[in-house]
Formats: sequence, structure tokens, C-alpha cells
Amino acid sequence: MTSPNTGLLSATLAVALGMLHTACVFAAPPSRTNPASVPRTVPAAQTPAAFTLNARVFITGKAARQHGTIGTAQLKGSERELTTYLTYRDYRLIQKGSATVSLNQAFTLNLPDNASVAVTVVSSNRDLIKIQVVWKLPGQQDLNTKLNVVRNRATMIGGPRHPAGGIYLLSLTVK
Amino acid sequence: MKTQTLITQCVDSGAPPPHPALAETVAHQRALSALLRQAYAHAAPEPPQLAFLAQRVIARAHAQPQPLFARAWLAVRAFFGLHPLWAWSSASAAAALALALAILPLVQRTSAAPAPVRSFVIYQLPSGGGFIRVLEYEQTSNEETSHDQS
Repeated sequence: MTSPNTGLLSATLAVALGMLHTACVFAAPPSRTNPASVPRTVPAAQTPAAFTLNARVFITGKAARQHGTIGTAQLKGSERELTTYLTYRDYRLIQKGSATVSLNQAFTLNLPDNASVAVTVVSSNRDLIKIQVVWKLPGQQDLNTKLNVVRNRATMIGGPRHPAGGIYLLSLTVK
Repeated sequence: MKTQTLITQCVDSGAPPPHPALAETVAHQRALSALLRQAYAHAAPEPPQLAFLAQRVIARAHAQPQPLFARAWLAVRAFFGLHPLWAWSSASAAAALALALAILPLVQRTSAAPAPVRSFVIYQLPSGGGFIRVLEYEQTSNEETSHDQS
């Protein structure tokens, strides 16, 4: 039989031992730490899973033609190939950026007219990476979605409608 | 029944009636049949029994008409059912349904979450091509989204 007091005592003892261990680890100066004696098991949560995000944001259609017809000149080779699935003729690059982020760290690209798009790596399983994409446009509700992308493969993600016509288009590659 | 068949044959074939008592009826039916032929000359050919059907309709029309209220009541009963209680319950159910259909869009507009925005995602295949699939965005308030991203 285990009384409630016994269980409480055990829990208190475990917490106290844990705090004592933490205090010893942090109190010890680095010079006096023997690397061989320190256990190499680092918790998984502290393991920095780095992801390099290459993002380019386009506007298409009428919005892209606001300052003249531009066609597909600003698209890269893979982007041009993927946009053959779309019916837009003009793609204007409005923002690009690259960043190395860890899990759940948002990478935000600020766009003209106070708009923005944020990409966050939510989880990863080998080459399959789940990301969250959030589009923010002034005066509108945020558009939020999660989708899987494959590492080192180009992905074109359709965004919200542009006020001038056409849509926002996010070209993303996760490495 | 036999008499009617006999008269029909006389009207159709033009033969004299076998009994002198039927002569007047046959003549009347021939006249009526001729009138109907003229009237329906542009329509389908006249069936043999048309004269007798027309006679029945005319006889019904000449019958004593019912009072206006009784006819209306019969029409209501024929429309809603046989029993007055059923008529009232049907009418109230129809009214409730109409009211619900009128209110439903208003309720949906005020209480339901905003509809998802449909878009697309194009994946690059190892072969170099791509494939496109539908992507749905949830519409969230700014506070909710910023909370999610924190």
C-alpha cells in the first residue's frame, strides 16, 4: 500500500534532486568541467534543427502589369516551369529573402503596401517538412495554412488576391 | 353501356340507328361530334368517344353548383389533406419552414466561421515537372495568428 504522503514525499525528493543537479551544472565554471565526464546526451528539444528558407514573392496578372508588361523574365528556371500550370502571363518579383531558422521560428518577408508573408517550419520528418504560411494584408483577415513541402524542391504557393488584380505567389525552397 | 356503344357506332359509321327511339339521340351526337371535329380540327384526330366525354363534362357543368365557401373548403382540403387538423398542422409546418429558411442565412452570417479561401500549391517533381493541388487557407483574426506564431 502506498499512502498519499509517500507519493508526495517521493515527488518532492525528485524535484529537489533535479534542482540540485541543475544548480551544480550551472554553478560549475567551464574551466573546471571535465569534458569527458559530462554526459553527451543533449535533450532533443535543444537540438537546433536548422532549415534554410529561400523565398521569393511575386504578384501576378493585373497587379504585375501595373508598371508595364513584364512577362516571366523575373522567374527562375524551375519557377517558370512550375508556373506553366497557371494562366497568368506576368509575374513581378516584389520581395525575396533567405534565412536559416529553427523549428517554430517564423521567417517574415515584408511586402509593399504593408502586407507580409511569414513562413514557419512546424515539423520535419526526413525530407518532408511541414510549414505554416501566414499572409497578412491590411484591412483583411489573416490567411493561415499548413502544408508539407519536400526539402530542396521548389514549391509555388498561391496566396491571396492582390487588390489591383491577380494574386500573390510565394516561391519557396526549404533546404 | 350497350346503348352508348350502339350510338357511338352509328355516329362513327353514319349507319341508321337500329331502333327508332335512338334516332334523336344519334342525330344530337352527330351534331355535337361535328362541332367537336371543327373545334379540334388543328389538333389530334377525334377519338370515337369524344362526343360522350364532352356530353358528360357538359352535364357536370350544368349540375347545381356548390356554394362558394364549400368549393373553397373542398379545394383547401384537397390541397392539404383530408382532415382539418392535418390542414392546420400542414399550414403551420409550412410557415415554420419558410421562417427557418428566411432566418438561416442571417444566423449563418453572424455565427459561422468565415469560409476558407481556396488557393493552390505547385510541387516540383524529381523529374523536373510539377503537380498542382488545391490549398485552403483559414481566415483568422490578427490576434489569433500572432498568438499562433509566438
